[in-house]
Amino acid sequence: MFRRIPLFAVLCAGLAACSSNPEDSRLLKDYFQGADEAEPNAAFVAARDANAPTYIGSLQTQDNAYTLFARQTTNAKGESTWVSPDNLSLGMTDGMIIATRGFGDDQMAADARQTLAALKAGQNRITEHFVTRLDGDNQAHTLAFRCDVAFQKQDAVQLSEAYTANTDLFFETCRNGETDFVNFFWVERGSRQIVQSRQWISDETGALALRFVK
Amino acid sequence: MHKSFGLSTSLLILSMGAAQAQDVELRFPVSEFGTPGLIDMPTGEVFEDGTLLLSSAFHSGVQKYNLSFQLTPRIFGTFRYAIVDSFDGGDDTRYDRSFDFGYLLAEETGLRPSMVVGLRDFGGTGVYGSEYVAATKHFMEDRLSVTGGIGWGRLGSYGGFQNPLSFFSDAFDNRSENLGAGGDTGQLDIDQWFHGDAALFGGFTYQISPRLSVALEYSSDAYITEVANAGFEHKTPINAALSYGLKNGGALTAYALHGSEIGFMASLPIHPQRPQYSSGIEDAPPALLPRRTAAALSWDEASIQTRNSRTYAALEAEGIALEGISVAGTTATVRFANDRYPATAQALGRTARVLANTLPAEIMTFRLEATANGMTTSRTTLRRSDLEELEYDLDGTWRSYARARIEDAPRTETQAIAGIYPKFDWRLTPYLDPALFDPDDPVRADLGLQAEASFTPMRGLIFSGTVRQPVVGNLDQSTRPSNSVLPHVRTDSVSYATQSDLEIKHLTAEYFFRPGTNLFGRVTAGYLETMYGGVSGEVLWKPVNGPLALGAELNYAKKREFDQLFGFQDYDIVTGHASAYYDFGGGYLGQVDVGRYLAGDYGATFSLDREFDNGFRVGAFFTLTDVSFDDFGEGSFDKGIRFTVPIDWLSGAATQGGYGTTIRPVLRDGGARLDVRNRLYEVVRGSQTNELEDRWGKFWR
Repeated sequence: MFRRIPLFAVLCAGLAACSSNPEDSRLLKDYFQGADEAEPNAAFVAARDANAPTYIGSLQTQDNAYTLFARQTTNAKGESTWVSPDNLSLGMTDGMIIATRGFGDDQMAADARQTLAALKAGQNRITEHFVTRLDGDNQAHTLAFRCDVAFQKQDAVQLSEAYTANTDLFFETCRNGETDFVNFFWVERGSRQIVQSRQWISDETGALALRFVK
Repeated sequence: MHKSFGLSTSLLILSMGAAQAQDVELRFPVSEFGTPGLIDMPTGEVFEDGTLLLSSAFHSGVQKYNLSFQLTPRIFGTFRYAIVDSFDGGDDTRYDRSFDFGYLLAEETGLRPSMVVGLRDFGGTGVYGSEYVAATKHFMEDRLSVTGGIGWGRLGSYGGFQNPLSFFSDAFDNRSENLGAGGDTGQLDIDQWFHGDAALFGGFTYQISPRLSVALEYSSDAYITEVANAGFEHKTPINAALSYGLKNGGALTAYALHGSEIGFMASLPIHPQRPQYSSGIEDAPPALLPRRTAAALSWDEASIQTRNSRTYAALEAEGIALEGISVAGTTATVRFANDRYPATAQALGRTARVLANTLPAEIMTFRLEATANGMTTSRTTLRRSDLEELEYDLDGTWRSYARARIEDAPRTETQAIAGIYPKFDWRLTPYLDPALFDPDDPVRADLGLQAEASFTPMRGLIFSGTVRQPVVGNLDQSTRPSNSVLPHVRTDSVSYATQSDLEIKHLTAEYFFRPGTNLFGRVTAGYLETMYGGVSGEVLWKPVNGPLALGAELNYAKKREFDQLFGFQDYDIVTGHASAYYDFGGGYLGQVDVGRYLAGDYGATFSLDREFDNGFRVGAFFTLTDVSFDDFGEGSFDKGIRFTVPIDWLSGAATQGGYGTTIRPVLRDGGARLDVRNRLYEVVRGSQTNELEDRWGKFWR
């Protein structure tokens, strides 16, 4: 379960209520059931049934916070939306996260095209990486980072029992005046696809590790 | 289900990585009075804008409970409830409510200190009545702060000298009230401010470590009344304190006062701009799917106005009730009710995406009518191509707002979905009903069960009621009868508490309607509130895009029986107000209500609220009427502070509603307004342009 509702909020919500309105009991139900027992997201089920590409994801700031993301759709600009059974979603372009939804402190949008180009080219470069987040007052702010994309080593990544990818591991070390983070990308040689990564989402949410599982 | 997937260890090594620098939040010194200060003495600082600070301080025979709010970057205010044993001599305890005000004259620069002019206890009983100007400068990378200042009133009672302001006028030499003994209750003693002797005070705080700080001050307060009446010993003007900072920004402090007392303080800051989850933890919105033809969607124009349509079901899954829809050419117009999202912009964003996913490719424009209590309140026009272009755009929030057209919707332009009405809703919840500041027991409360039900036979017409059954509590143990010389329009609250058991809180018929463009109407009849029943009518003029709104309300109210069931007492009154509301921008909302109050008195209520874009709200108000201060009784005139904390601010989940309360130092009969539910301004504004813009960040959430 990725998201935690504070018990205090549930208690003082006074929503320990019986009601004809399903909205009233959602908070309580979410708290006690958690995402694990809830019905899996219908779009996720449909995508999996259609054998859509899937990532396994792990949130680095919480123990046992794993979920799957299946690709639901791709738009004309090549931006795809990946959905999880527990109603989270990711916007991605070629394996780079360009948005998250439902993580608490989301990336509303991101532009990492320069980093992606460096990874595709297999070159060390200085890049610009932009992230838009919402502050606690519902205002969107775009942060600009200066990033150093640097090859680290060749690495074998086992994607399934039958398939091990031969990858280049790159670090993307980003900073601006207030925040710094390091993203890891394992880029398959030949296809230049990002098959595994660890990408920073935000200060509160931390980083999300993703591995392509099919 | 996803836990069943095995994880290889190599994924776990991804956990290694950058260590985040731990932010050390600099603790802010808070005085015993809950204001920026050392121990007893104020400093020349203010809190971070928007900070709400709860604090309490205890030393022998004295308890102080403070609530401070940094209303603007320069202005702070404090409400204080103090309980002081033997303050008036003998065994009597003084229960004192007081207000402070501070204004930042100058911000700190490289060379200049920050400076604050402040009033302490300016509207209470004057127990702590004093004024000051203080200056503070930080050194050693902010670890050391040094303060110096000059005080009047109580803050000029030790080491006092002739008032330097007497240079301008001899009138400044004299202060008629006894220092610290209390003057006229609740009146602004403007003619006393900055009068009488002045004295200097000063001190410093030093941050020993991120968690520990010390403060030392030279106090200019002689504690005259406490020494005379309460056995206080003033051995030295020096006070000292040691503070331990908590992770959440709060602090625990032990202090030594004038060489004779040891005290303890605790403070907790709340930052309304920082909710638990900044972007919320509600489910992800539906992804925008590629356009599909009517055939691919199996779209059937004939069934769109029924509850069987895909659009209806998909919106329902998002917590949005589709009430009407019309498709004409390439434009779809829908009317919806948002039961889930505190930000209407979020409901708009999700509705638009659902329409894009369920309506055929040739429909290019979506017109979304927002509703409140059945009234259409605004119509937002969005282009489908903009949604597709901006879904993951870096500046998608602002660009989508800039391209949206928002207009008034005096009439719906949709065809109603069949079978939406009648609606029946009910809920059973616990409730907490507190009553503060009864000298016999400053905190009283009832806890019980509350049942609410509503029946909506048609759009805009709502029959509803609330019944309460107290289970435990002590509200009915109050024994203070009203001593008011006015008609007892509010001060019989003790009788209402003691003579009731099962209570009807309200039982009304309400009708909401749109008389015309920019106009909204409401008629309410029945048991309007705890103490009054009757009829209430209201008209509001509020342009969808404007900051100004004007309203008029007329009520006939009859006082209810103390048992809060169906009976009435003899007292009845025609009351009503003309109201002006202005949204100043930046979250500041002003309101003036002029009219006749429940006791038949005429006057006006002035309110100022600071509303954060996330819905957290703090405000203050006062009412002046033709009732004299003497007739009004304790407090001289009605005033108070109020705040609302949205549920989603606490939980992060998309849930409407919030917890609000109004704190009045004392509730009397003058300036008392009928407490009718669903006044139009608050009903309407959430789905109009100003609020949509404030919360448009949620459109793509």
